[in-house]
Amino acid sequence: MSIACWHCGKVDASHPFTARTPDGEKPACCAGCAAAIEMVHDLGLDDYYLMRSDAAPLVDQSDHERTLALFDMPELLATHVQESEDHKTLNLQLADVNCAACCWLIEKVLHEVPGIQAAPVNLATMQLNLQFDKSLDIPPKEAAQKVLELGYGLALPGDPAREKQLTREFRTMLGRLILAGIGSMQSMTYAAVLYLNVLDSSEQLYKELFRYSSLLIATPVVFYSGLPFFQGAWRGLKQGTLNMDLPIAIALFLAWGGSIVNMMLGGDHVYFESAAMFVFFLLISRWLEQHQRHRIQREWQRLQDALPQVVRKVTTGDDYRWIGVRQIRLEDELFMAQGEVIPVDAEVLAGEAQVSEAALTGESLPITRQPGDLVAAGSKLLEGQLTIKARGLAHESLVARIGEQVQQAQNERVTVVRDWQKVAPLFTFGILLLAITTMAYHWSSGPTVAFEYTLALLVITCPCALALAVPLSISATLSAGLRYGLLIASPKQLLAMHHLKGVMFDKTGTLTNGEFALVKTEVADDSQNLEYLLGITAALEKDHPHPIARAFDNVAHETHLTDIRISRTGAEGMYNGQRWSISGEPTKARPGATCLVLKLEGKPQLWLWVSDQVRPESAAVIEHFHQEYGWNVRLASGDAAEAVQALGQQLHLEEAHGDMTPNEKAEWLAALQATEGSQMMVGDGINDAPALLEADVSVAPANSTSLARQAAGVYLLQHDLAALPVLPALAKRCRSIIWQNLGWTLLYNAIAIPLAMAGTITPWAAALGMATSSLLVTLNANRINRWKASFSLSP
Amino acid sequence: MESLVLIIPLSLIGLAVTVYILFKALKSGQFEDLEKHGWSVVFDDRERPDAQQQGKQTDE
Repeated sequence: MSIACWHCGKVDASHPFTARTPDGEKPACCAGCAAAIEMVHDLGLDDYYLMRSDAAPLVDQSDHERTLALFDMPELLATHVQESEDHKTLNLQLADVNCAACCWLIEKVLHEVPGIQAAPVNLATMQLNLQFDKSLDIPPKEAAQKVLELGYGLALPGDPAREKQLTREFRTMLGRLILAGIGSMQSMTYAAVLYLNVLDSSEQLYKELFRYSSLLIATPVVFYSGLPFFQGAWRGLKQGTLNMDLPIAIALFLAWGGSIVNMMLGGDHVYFESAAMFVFFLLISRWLEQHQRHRIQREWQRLQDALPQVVRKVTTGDDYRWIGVRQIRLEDELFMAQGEVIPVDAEVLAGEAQVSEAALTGESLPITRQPGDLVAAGSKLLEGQLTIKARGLAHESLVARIGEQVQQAQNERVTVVRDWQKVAPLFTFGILLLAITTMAYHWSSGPTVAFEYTLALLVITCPCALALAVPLSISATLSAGLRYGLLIASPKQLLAMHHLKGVMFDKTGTLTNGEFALVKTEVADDSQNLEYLLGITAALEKDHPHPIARAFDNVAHETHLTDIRISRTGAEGMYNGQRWSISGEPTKARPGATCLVLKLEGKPQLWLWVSDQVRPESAAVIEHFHQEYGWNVRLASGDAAEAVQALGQQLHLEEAHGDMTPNEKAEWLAALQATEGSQMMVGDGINDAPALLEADVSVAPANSTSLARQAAGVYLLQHDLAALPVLPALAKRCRSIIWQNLGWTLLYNAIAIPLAMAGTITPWAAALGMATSSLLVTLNANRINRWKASFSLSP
Repeated sequence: MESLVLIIPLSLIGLAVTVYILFKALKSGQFEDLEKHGWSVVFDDRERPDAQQQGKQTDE
């Protein structure tokens, strides 16, 4: 019977662990989860299991030591600690926080840790605000340990200053919006009294009272809430351009200043409520845009978050201490354990291990490294342990150099979408010209009338709908993309999608999923039963740590094998008194496939070929791109040329090149851009980063190396390529919505401008018209949020 | 109509107080997480018996 783990919900037939709680024994999938259940019950927090809306994360203890090591090194954490009056705080980024119950559990558990004063968790941003005693330099290690033991991930926010800035932007904008909202409503009630003529001419004094009250309210609304428009206009003027903020600023100032002048001259009309309303409506749209923009930025930020990498430095004999990667010096001896990434180029001193260089070179098969061999920074230890001697510094390796390239490109890529419109100066100039014409034309009817008409014109032609048409459509598209598992970091790439002529894929980890699978078998003697032989193979490989052995995890294994002995080259065991063994057979290897042989008493019985498994959806995605968009699909890999070409034929690709260095990939892409046109690059490795930077549209699949992620403009959140075809469809939808919005604003202006110039519209009606137009644009942009992909990939 | 002289300034004061309270709430970060606090009412704050004892001991 299958039983789900009480903590993480993982279903395991054997449920090998149980946790003792006051409510009886609960099944658990691993020791970590069992400990978590007992801790939760111990603290009397078992409500958590009733209230949570999603299963807790699986407690994986393998990384705990490295994360916790950080809390022993005050010098690395100290820069992130902030001091306030009665406590110090450290912001930490949590992972896998799903619901309010998770927040509550973490807060309660941390409350029990001595030295911790409070630990509020923000569910929206998944941030833990750890407040601890002033006497401590850094928060107690126990706090971090408790969070990890519950199964939640822990990281330092990649850029604390950035997070602070987002919060500040959020608060300022909301403050402006609140003031504008309340102020415009209040001033409208005063204005209603004046417009409705309830007061007759003998009650001039009361009219004055209403006017002065309106002035009192409108002034902070115009100059505090409306400050961004004045700032924007001024910034534009300083740079010598007429931007969209300028007519807004002029209209605001005219409405406010003109009303004061009117009051002084004893005129009847004031427009304070129009000005306040104008600010309020403008801010609603800006606020929506900011909200969506922040959401994407936070999501992106979360991917960049990481703990500073730490490494064990061998001190004397078998002893070691943790140091930061930046502290590594030449000739330092480092100890690397299974699962760790080698931080510097180094030479192996002792030990033997299987090392994967897939992220660096695209080579899918792990390589055995022994004393005397060199290992490159960025390669990962799959199995075994090594003692290495640093041959270079952390910032000198190939990885670090590609990292610098990425960093530079990122700095250059900061583009402001709001000022994307090239039409802005033209539009603004046109409005100002029309305003002056209107003023001059109606001057003969008296300055008050001319002023009112001009104001109405400026308000009704308010370019805000135009200014919003693009950014709102884009931010709504980004939200819709998130729903499909697409994190679009570069809106510019989204708009560049429709120029694409070709796509280039990486092989290992992109078109393939980096896991080995059985692709072919050959039985030596036809009388033998294949299933029986596979069962024995699976039993031999069951506990072998080599990644190739995982290819047999789903094969039903023979259970009566005894005396299984695992060696580095294979495994052997006894079955029915006979000795079976399995080992590699390099002579029969094929392009991209490794060959293994199963022997009975030394005689070959079965040959098996395993290879890096092609993702099941890869073929459909490639066909969709080719059929639907006519794109040429190519493959560029650092893996052996034969393997790459075999895959290219299997997937019917235009071209497939192997043995490529990172720069060769980028050069090939650049050549294609010159001859064919815009290119999209999809890749996950460090070796893909230069090509990703070069491409017009760049995508990094889930589980990509952090460098590829930063280099790419789009990141896939799900562990497959299924979301990829959504991208061009979504981009197309986004474009059509942008054009609809631009079309509507132009039509609206074409109708409204003559009416306003003729003087048939009052300023408050103009404000209403402007607001309706903006609202329409906003609603239309939000239609993207409900957009559904209208195709399905045949598996 | 004379009452207007009193009512209008009162409404202005009311407005100022409202804006002040909202800004104070904004500064305290109340609007940053709108989901979590809604849930807080469904959780019991049960104190463990031994935790209470520990608390007393440290108080002494």
